[in-house]
Amino acid sequence: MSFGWNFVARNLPLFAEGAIVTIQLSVLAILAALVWGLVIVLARLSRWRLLALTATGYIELVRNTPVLVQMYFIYFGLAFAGLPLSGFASALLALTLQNGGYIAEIYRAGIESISRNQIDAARGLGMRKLLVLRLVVLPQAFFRIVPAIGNQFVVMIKDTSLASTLSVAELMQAARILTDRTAATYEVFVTLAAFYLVMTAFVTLLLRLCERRIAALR
Amino acid sequence: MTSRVSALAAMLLAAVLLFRSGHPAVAEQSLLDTVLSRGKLLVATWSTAPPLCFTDEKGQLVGFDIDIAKMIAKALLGDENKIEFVVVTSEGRWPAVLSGKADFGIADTTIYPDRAVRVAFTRPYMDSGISVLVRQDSRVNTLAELNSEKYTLANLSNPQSADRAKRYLPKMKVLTFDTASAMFLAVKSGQATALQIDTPIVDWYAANNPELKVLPEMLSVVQNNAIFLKPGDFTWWLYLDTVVQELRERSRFEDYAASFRKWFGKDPPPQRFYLPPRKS
Repeated sequence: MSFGWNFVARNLPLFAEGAIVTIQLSVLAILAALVWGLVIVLARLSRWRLLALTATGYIELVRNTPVLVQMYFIYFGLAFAGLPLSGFASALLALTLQNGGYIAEIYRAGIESISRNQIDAARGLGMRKLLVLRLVVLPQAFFRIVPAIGNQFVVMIKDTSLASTLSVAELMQAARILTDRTAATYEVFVTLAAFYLVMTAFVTLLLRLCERRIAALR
Repeated sequence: MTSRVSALAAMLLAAVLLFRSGHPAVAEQSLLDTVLSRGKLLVATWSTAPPLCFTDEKGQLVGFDIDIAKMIAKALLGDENKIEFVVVTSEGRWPAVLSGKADFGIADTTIYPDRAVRVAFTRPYMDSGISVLVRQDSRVNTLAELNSEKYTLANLSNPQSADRAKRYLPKMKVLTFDTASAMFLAVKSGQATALQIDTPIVDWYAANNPELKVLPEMLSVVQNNAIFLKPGDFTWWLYLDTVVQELRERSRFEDYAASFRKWFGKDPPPQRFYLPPRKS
């Protein structure tokens, strides 16, 4: 049986609508996770033991539970507790919480890779801790973590497909409903994969351009 | 000499022709033969739609649909355990049978003309309808009351649910899930006010959850659930259709009735009402 190109062309608008929601969810989750990850890593590396231990515990918790479980927990669990969040909000929260933990670890790897000598030298010159962080550590660490962060972005984009179980009208949900209506499984899922591929390739390209720009500046 | 050779030649020719006519053109093997030679039946079903097909506390697949499938396995292969269930979600039903992953599917599936275009249905094994389950604390008693922007409806991902929602409850907000249990969880947790699905499932949930109730008005009253399979295999379809008939109306009615009573708590439609009841 030949591939139904007509079918794909006819249903492209449906996929596009779903893709828009996927992009919205991905962008918001990425931005939120970047910020949340920074908060977590600063807590993790702080001098106060309690804060550092809490942050470590948090990272272990979110790394060892699947994000789908977290999504279900937030969507249904909070509703049971009397605070119902929409599917989109629940998915966003779950993605932020989990990937914030992962990204915190990526930040930490980048920060700790900066040689202590540089930090000692800067402190020796009289710079305060925050200034050292801002001028010496973070700019260099940022450049080193870009590949790993890019990887995490791709993972997050793919994880948004799990939001389809929470009735979020994103790409995967559109594909599911279309399959139930037409049984054209092959065409639908090849198109779906193509959409995700385009999105993740775009993000990877963007990050590569970023890397090149930063390298040029140094 | 020549006459003997020609006689031999004639006999040989006759033999060849005879043997040729004895071999029919190789027909495509029916699923019936495939299943018989395999010795195991593969059935697509859901795992979260009580009391039709769901998992019990021990993690076993149980339910009325499961029992029917097992009765078919017993009829075909002699042992109701020579069966393997392929668990799917709502939209996964169709590719499961169309791709050959399952020999047939039994999953709370209603016969609709649009579906009949791509899968084959046997005669129905069960009467059904579509009922609405609502939360008691919403204090809604009729469909008219439910049809309001304040309330949210949980739907299954099939197009018929969407059509019904648009027709009977157009003002409600809609959430779409791919399993009956996700819909139920949505209503129970408060994410949705109501859900619409087959009457037996709604009745079961209402019976087991006092904070939920069934609306007296049904969204669809006269529909039937049936086994679905890949179209084009007449022998397999005819066999399954015959077995369903025997289960529902004839020689295997006792087994069918026992399962019906077990899961629905009432008797199935009576057969041969003009005969005096059997003294057992």
